[in-house]
Amino acid sequence: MMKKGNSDLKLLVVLTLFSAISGLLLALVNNVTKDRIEMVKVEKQKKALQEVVAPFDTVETQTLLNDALDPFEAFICKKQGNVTGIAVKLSSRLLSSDEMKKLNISEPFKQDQAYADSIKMLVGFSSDGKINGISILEHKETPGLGSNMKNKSFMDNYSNVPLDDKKWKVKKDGGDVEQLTAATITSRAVTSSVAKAIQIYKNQAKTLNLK
Amino acid sequence: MSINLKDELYRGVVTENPIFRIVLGMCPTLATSTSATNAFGMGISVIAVLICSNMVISMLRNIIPGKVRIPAFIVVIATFVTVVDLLIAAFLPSLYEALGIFIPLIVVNCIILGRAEAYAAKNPVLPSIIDGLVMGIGFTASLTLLGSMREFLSSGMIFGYLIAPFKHQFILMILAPGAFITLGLTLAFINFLQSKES
Repeated sequence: MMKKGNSDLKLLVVLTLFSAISGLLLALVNNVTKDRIEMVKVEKQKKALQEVVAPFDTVETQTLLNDALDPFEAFICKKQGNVTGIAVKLSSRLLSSDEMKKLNISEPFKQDQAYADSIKMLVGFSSDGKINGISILEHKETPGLGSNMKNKSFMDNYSNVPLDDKKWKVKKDGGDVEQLTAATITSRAVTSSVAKAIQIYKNQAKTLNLK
Repeated sequence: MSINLKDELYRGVVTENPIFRIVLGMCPTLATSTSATNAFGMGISVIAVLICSNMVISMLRNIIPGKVRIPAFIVVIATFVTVVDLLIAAFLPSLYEALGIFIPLIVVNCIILGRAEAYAAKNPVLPSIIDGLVMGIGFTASLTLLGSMREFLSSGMIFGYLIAPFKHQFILMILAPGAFITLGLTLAFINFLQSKES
């Protein structure tokens, strides 16, 4: 009887010890890598920014929605003092009415949730009122289906198009955007986020006196 | 104890093939066999994790009491995979771009736990490492085969290159039912071959 109690205690101690060591190890590694992972993200964002707007030398960052997990931001890119382009960083998550008011967006976007988690992206505009291009920063869509949104043929939907030339909905919903085969939800999420970014851009352009 | 690498490789790829013979790790198998590239990426990640987890479990095998070995293995493997995930994200960002989506899937891959339980918990370190390697190779080979078949049937391509005489679209094969159909038919075919042999 005594012995059994003893061995049960041993099990408890060993398993507790294992968990404690694992926890410690994870905390340690997290501590070491946290800053570098953040740095890599910033670097990646900088590269994405260069992809979606015309060449620039300075960037002004404006926070539109202050959320610790996925802030909405506008990057106003300038070259020798002239605005060369604006990029809007946003995610495909659903917005509360409060957030919509803050962003000054009127249209309710109902189909903007992606298949898995929200898609974070950068939408670039040129100063003459065109979508220059978009870049997907983070996503967790299904490999082989939703992840095809990164393919050039789909990205071309949003490349160098005057804002009002297209109805920013997928073709299935009566718009002009060619959706991905077998990934309509992903295509809708991207397209409706682009539509959101267009409204944000128009607000920004008004305050900056752009076209 | 001497290890014949060729025999071991034969064991991992043919007689004890993790997908077709032991039928372990079906969740990632069904999920990542959508294309040859995805399958190969998943396979490579599994090889790396399997070798290391087998090594760690084998080193700890005398410390872990038999009654709590499964939870202890799970703690070790989950910790290990998370550490690898964080380290790759921080120091090898380009590799993370390519393999990042697979790494969390490895935690739920029961091949890792299966090999820990069936082999690494009973064998010394070096044989366990080799077991991890050959099992990983067997997994990668079978998964890439399934991925190639599904990619070919759904779009006529393999590894993104057009193989079929014309481009076509057969979406079913890239969706979940396609995974079950391909895996089921392949398993049936292999069983048929084996029954003829014996």
